[in-house]
Amino acid sequence: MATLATIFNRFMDASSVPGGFAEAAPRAVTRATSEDYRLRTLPNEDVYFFVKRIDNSRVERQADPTASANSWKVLGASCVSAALLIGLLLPSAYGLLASYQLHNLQAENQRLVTDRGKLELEEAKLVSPERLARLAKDQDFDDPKSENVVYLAPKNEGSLALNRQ
Amino acid sequence: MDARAEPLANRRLRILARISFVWGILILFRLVSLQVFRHDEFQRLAQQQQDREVQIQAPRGVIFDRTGRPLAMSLPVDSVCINPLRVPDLALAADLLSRILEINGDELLGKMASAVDNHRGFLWVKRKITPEESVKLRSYHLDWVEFRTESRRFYPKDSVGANLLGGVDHLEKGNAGIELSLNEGLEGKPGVMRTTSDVKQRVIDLQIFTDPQPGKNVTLSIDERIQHVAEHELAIAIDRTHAKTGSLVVMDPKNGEVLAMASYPSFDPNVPPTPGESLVSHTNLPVSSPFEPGSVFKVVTLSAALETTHIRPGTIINCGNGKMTLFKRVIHDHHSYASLSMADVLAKSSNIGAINIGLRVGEQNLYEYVRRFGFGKSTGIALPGESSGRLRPLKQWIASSIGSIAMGHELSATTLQLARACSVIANGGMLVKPRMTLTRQHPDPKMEIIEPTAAAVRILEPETAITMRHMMEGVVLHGTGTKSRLDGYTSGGKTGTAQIYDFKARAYTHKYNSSFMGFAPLNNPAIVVVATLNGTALMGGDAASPVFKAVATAALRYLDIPKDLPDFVASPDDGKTESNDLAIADLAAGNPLDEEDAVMEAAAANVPEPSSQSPAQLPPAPLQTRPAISQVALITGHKAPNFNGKTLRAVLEQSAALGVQVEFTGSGLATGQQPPPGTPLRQGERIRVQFAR
Repeated sequence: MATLATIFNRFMDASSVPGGFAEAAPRAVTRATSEDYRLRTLPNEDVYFFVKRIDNSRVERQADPTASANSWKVLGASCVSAALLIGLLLPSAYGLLASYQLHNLQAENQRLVTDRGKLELEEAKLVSPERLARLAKDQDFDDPKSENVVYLAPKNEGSLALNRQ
Repeated sequence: MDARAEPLANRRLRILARISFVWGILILFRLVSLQVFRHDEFQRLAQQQQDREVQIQAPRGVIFDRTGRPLAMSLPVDSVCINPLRVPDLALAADLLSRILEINGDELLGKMASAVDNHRGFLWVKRKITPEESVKLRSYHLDWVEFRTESRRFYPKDSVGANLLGGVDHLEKGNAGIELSLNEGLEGKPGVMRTTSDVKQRVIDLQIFTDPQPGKNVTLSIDERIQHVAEHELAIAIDRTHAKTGSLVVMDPKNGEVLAMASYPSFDPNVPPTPGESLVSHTNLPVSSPFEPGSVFKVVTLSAALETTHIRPGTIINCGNGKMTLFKRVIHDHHSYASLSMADVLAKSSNIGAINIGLRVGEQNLYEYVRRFGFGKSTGIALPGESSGRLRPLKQWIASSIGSIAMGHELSATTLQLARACSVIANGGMLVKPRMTLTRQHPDPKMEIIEPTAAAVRILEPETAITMRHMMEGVVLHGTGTKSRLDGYTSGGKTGTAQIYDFKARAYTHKYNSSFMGFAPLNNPAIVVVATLNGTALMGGDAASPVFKAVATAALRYLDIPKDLPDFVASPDDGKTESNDLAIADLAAGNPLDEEDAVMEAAAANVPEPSSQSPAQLPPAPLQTRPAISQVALITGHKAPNFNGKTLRAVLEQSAALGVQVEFTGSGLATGQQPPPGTPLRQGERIRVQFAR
């Protein structure tokens, strides 16, 4: 049974040895006939892993003359996109806030109108003739007698402003 | 890297990508379904949740008096409603609401249970609650309680002008008085707007569909100060005279503007009417309750006589020694007078004298002048339920009708009609149309629509009106109305007392409609006051004259009318003059106005010929001697000059220089005068001078 790695090795061997498949096949046959007593090789036993330590401490990135420009481009594009987004959303948000404010102002206006009406009603009640008469009676006030009522009759000489229209 | 791990990860990624793709497709399809295919449905649902159509209140117009003080105004108040289906505990809710709103808890619980049973999601709990109740209920933050704004009518002056103003129903539609007659203009038309709310029910958008049209303000001709005095004095008089009802009108005679219109009993329009409450207290008596006017109507009779006969104020009228037989009816005067001058017939309110004058005027002329004065038809004032009174057509008069009508019976009139008739005398002979509305608010709030004044119609010659004024002054100075004499002002008037007919007993009772109608000042009247007390045992001079005095004194002061008399101290004899002016004494066969016409016709069948003592056959009267005046209330300091032998021009010059008033009879040279030369003159007294060639 051939594993995926074996098949891969075959492809690799075939591609790496000059002559390809035609030359690789006789070698296996030869080994099998000449060294039958030997154990078969384990698949991929000739593949070894080893770690090559690479020291990059002294490596420096090669200066990219376009990186800065690219960064600024990205930054600019981001800002423009954000500005566009904000610009698109701002009227709607502003309209929403304005609606709240408008409604509050209308409610405030209505409340003030109502309060003004209540105050006018209260004032009208306070100066009602019945109440004034009651207060006058409580304070021993009385209507003026006829002789106590004096009507101004200024002379027609311009020395005194008329007190009526 | 493990070679087998990569395909596994890829496979998982591919599965995840497929699931995501399918999920995205589903979302997309759902989105399309919601946004496209079911757009209308969900838009409707969203609008139901977010959008509300709200009514924009249009407050009812304010009613002002002529000085700009509000008499009626509307304010928004809260009304409480609930959704019974959302109430967690009906019993607890009913108990809580009944305690806060002071309503019957059991009744509320029953309504809530009924609403729940019928799956009704709305129930009014209490409408137009007080601000205190609103604050208290809001403090509980009950989410199943909803407050709705409604408008409520307030009358800040309480009962002042209540009968005149009327009232409104729960929908703020006028149901009586000015509120009813001017409802079309006063009533506002509410607008409609649509609001869009967020989740917290904060309005984020609104759209007004219909603009509200607030009611138009109205300014009445009423002066609240005079109105208050009128109602106050009327109530005092009712209490003093034990009358049942009363009415009073104060009018400007020049233009017919009603300055006050009082009724007794009255009511407080701020308090809802209770079941079984008498409607009399809600009736505007001065316009809707006609009555037999009695002797005040003699003013009409005498005015007609001045214009249609040769009778003059000094003409002697036969008074039959207090007894007269007219078409088999025996008529007694309250005092026996052999004869009186025409002026004294009015001053002493002689029934027989008035009847004799009426007979000389004649039925046709008397009827014509009664109609001219506006009796028998409504005045057209902007008030609902106005009565036109009653005046029978001339063809329905029986023989004795002329006698009855001459002294104010067999017809009925309202207090307003009497005020209008008195205005004719006061303004020089013009019949004015009473008006109640001065201005209405223009659609432009800064402008006002001035109500046009109806053109006055001349019905009397100016000389007739002035003569009547002077004769009516005699009523106040030395007649039946001395208790109406004003301090500091000249005035004229006429008392009236009419017996009230009891239809059950079919007889006149000893209860009277006592009236006084007068004006002041005499030469340029600023006000006309008519007061009527119904169901009193006192005569007009005792019952209604003091009302005139109190109201006229206050009204003249409020209107800033200068005094035309020096102040004086009344003599102790004041008020002792005869005030008995009963207009229907011993009318055994009297026909009350409201009896069946058949009774009248039956009486007419037995009409005899007029009495041989008809005053129409009396010779022209010489200058009569004025009856001795027992009361000299006011001495002006002048003595009557001697006009004998002087020409008219000389008499005029001398009287003008002395400041005394003179009446003339005849032409040529002065041959006699009354009072005689050297007699001290009372305030307002005139000297009658007889001229002859």
